[in-house]
Order: sequence, then C-alpha cells, then structure tokens
Amino acid sequence: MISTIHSLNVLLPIFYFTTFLIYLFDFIRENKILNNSKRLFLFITLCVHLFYLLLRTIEFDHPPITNVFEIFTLLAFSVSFAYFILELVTDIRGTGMYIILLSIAFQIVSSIFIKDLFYVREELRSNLLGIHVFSALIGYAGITISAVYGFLFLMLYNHLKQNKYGLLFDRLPNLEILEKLCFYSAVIGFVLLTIAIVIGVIWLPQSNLNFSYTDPKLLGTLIIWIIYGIGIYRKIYGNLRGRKLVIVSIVGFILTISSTILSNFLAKSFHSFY
Amino acid sequence: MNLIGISINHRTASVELRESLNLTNEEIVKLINSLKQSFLKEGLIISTCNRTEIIGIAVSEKINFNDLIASLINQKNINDVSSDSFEKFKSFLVIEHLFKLVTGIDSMLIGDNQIFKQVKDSFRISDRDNFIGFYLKKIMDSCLRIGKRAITETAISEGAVTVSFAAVQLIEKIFANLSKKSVLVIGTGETGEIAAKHLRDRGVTRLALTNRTFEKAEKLAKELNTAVFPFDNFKEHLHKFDIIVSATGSQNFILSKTDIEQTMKKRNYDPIVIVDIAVPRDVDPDCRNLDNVFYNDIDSLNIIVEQNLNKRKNEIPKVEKIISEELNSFIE
Repeated sequence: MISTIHSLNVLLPIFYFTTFLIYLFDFIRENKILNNSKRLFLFITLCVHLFYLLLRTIEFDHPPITNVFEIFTLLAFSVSFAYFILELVTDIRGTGMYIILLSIAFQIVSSIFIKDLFYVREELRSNLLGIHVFSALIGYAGITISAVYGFLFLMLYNHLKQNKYGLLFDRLPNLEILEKLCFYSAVIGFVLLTIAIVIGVIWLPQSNLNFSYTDPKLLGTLIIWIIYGIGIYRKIYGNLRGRKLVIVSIVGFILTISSTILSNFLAKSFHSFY
Repeated sequence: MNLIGISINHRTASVELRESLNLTNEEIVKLINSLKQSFLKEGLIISTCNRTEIIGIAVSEKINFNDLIASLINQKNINDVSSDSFEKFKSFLVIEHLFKLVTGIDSMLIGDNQIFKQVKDSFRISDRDNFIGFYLKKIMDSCLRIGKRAITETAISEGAVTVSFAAVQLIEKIFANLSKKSVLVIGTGETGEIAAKHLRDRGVTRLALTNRTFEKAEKLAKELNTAVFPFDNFKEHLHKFDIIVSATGSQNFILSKTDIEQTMKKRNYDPIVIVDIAVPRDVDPDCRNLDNVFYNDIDSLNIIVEQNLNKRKNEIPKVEKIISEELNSFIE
C-alpha cells in the first residue's frame, strides 16, 4: 500500500497539471469536445486524489490533517472539489484553469515535503479535531476560490477600463457574476472558519495542555475572520462593492497564506505538529 | 438543367442604385408573373437592402442574362443601368453562389445571418406563386442545411459586428441580466432610436428617454412604452440608471466628469456603464477614471466590431469547406 501511496504522491501533481492543460487549451481555443471532457478529467483527478487520501488515512491510521503538508494536499483537493461543485451548479466553465493552478501549487509543495507519519499525537486522532480541521479547510478553500474570482474580476475590470477586448473579454463571465462568485465563496469561507474557530476555542483548551489564547495561528485566524466579517458586513449594509470588495478578498487571502506560513514555520504554536 | 442567375449587390453597385432596384413583396410577385410567362420555368427573387437577385431555370437555351436584367429594370422603370452592375452566374456557379449567400460569407457584414431568413422568405413567396419546382426545391433544401451547418459548426455569425450590438456585448460583460437593469437613452435621433429599440429587443424593461425636443422623445417613448424625462432636469435622475446611452447632436459635453462623480455618489458607487455613441462626444471621457464607471465611446465600440469581423473572416475557410462538401454531394 505504501508504494501505491508514494506513486500517487508523484502522480497527483501530474494529474492536476494535465487537467490544467486541458482547461487552458479549451480557454484559448474554445474546443467543443474539450469543453465537455475537461470536467471529466477534473472528476477523474479528484477521484484519484480522494483514493490517495483514503489510502493515507487507512495506512497511517489517522486522517491527513496532522501537519501542514497533509493539510496542503487536502487543501489542493478541497479547492478543486469546491470548484468542481461550483462549475456543476453554475455551469460557468471559463475559470477552472485559474483555480486548478492553486491546487497544483498546493499539491506540488505537499508531494515534495509530505512524510509517512505512522505515529501522531493521540489528540490528533480525535473526531472533533477532524471537524475543526475539516471546516477550517473548506473555509480556506472558500477563501482561496474567492480570491481567485477576485483576481479574475480585477483583470477583466482593468481590461474593460482600458478598452482591451482580448481573450479574457471573450472567455470570462461578466463582472457581476465574478463579484457574486467572489462574495459567496468568501461567505462560505467565513461561515466555515467561524465553525472552526468556535470548535477550536471551546474544545481545544480541554484537550491540549499547550493551548494558548495568544497562539499566533489563533490570533492570525482571528484577524482574518475579522477582516472577512467586516468585508461581508460592509458589502451587505454599506457601500463595499466592485473593485474594493474583491481587493478585500484578495488581501484576506494573502493574509491567510501568510498567517499559515508564519504560524507553521516561524512561530512556536500548538498548531505546529512537525 | 439550364440554371441562370443575376445579382446586383454591394460589390457591384452604389447604395443609390441598389435602393432604386429594391423590390417590395408586391413587386416581387408581379416580377414572378412576368418572368414565368417568358423566361423562367422555376425561379427565386431575393431583394434586400444590399442586393436584388433573380435566380431560376430558363425556359430555353436562348434566354440570357440580359433578359433577366431587362425584366428587373422594366419592373422598376429605371433607365441607364449598365449590365456591368450585375454579377452573372450559370449552371453550378448559381448553386455555389446561393450556398455562399445563405452562409453569410457573401454579405457586406460577413456572417450576417439575416440573409438566411431573407432567402427563406423569398423561397416562400416563389413557392406560394408556384414558381418553385423539383430542382429549386432540391437546391433550397441544400441551402437550408448549409445555412444551419454554417451557424452550428462554425463561428461565422458570432460576435457583434455593429456598434449597437457591440454596445450590448460590452454591457453584458459588466452586468449579468439586462432585464434587471435600467437604461437611459439621451437623444432620440436616428442613432438613439436604433439603440433604444435594440436595447428593448435585448430584454431591457426599464428604459427611459430624454431629448432636447421633448415631443420627439415622447413620440418614441409612446412607441416603445417607456418613461420620458424633460431634457432640462434629466441629470437629477441620472443616478437611477445603470446604463446611459448618449447619442445627441450636441457640440459640447452634456455630461461632465463632475456630473458623473455626483451620480456615482448618489448611486452608492454601484457600477454604471456609459455608452457615448455621439460624435462629437456627449460625455467627458475623463469619467472613465472613476471607480466603477465604464465609459465607452464610438472608437472603443469599433474596436470590438473590428475584432469580431476579423474573427468571422477567419471562419470563412471552414464555411467554404462546408460549401464544397455540400456542392459535391449535390452534384453526386
């Protein structure tokens, strides 16, 4: 089983890259055959990835949530899976390559650094921790997708302002839809992050002796949560819209990534498991 | 089969001459009767703003192009039309010409699929007057198939190739649903009227008009069932509109950057699209630097038109391939 896991670890970035190439080719050429089959390729990639995650869980006797590189592979899966659902629901097919690009990045980092962890701390096998991590991950996936749509919004916005009517003008959905996708993804991210924080704050102090309210990861997440909270509030009740709204989403995403990197690699935190 | 055809079109004649030979449906029926008596066994007469054509199967070998040209000229009572103003086709070249026609690659606006409908209408008139027989029916069946293939298998008719369509294409890149947006058309001259009607056709329900001559705006508003504002105070209502189309004959800006700034403030900075199709321009182009203001003038719309026309031109080889396939199967 270990050798299958190792092979899949190498194959997964290739799967994502191939899917990305198909999406890219269709984006440029608008090929009718590829337009339908690219979704199938993504589905196959997700199935392979799910199989890999299940194998890891069975082989190492814990869900792949115990360190940052396990989280990264789960994040790669979550981002593409969330996009897959979004594509099915909205039938907006022109944005996939931008999202899959993120999955490639997360998966490559994970594939390079991930280790075979047979022994993990006992609290990492907890179900409640599973819910905490799972909701946080889906939350991060929402935030990531929101940022990608925000970025696409900005690109199309600038092209329209500069009277550039090239490939992006032809292929991307309109600004209103991009803004909606950006906002709703952020709302989903925010709600799930809220659940993750609530579970974390209530349950973790009881189960983890090293728990601290000044933990850098906790503080970073709280800052991100506040930024998104203010952004969502101002979108609904204030005048935050269009370009400014998507900039908030992109800044939120950059802070999320920075917070993850800083708290996992630089700061001492009970969230660091390596 | 003695197929013969003549065509006066945008390549061969001026707009004035084309206009003078344009036929109404009644005139087409009269001409069918006259052609039936002496020249053609079966026939089709196509008359649009860009072309008038007579195509048919001659009753004998002796019938030539000049007979058909003379019939058309006599019908319209026009002198001094040279035979050089006509394209002439015989045998399979007639079929090839018809195939090119229905796919839109022979149109002034390449890929204009209105011609497909116009040819179908012409066929209906000829059929009603018993001017369609076995051969023309067979040709028309092929024409219909090719016309459909060209639309579904190529991008020959895709993209906006007129300024008003380009404006709509652009607006649809900003807003998701035109039916939920409100539009103000400033100026109800010919351009403004076309824009207003086009937007109405595209599903805009909240449409309003304003014009320096109020009565003119009122008249068009009645026709389109829309609201109308007096020109003197239309700026007070500007913030209520998501899309502003301006097409007045004013020599100066009628909307300054400050006007748009104030409008945006009142709109809570909701996006606004300004389509300035007037020459000279009606709206200060500096307003394009404001956040969430999408300003487009005639030049920027023409960029879209040019790009789409080029894309359509690139599709011509694909259409020609379809024509060639169908022509081969027709001959077999």
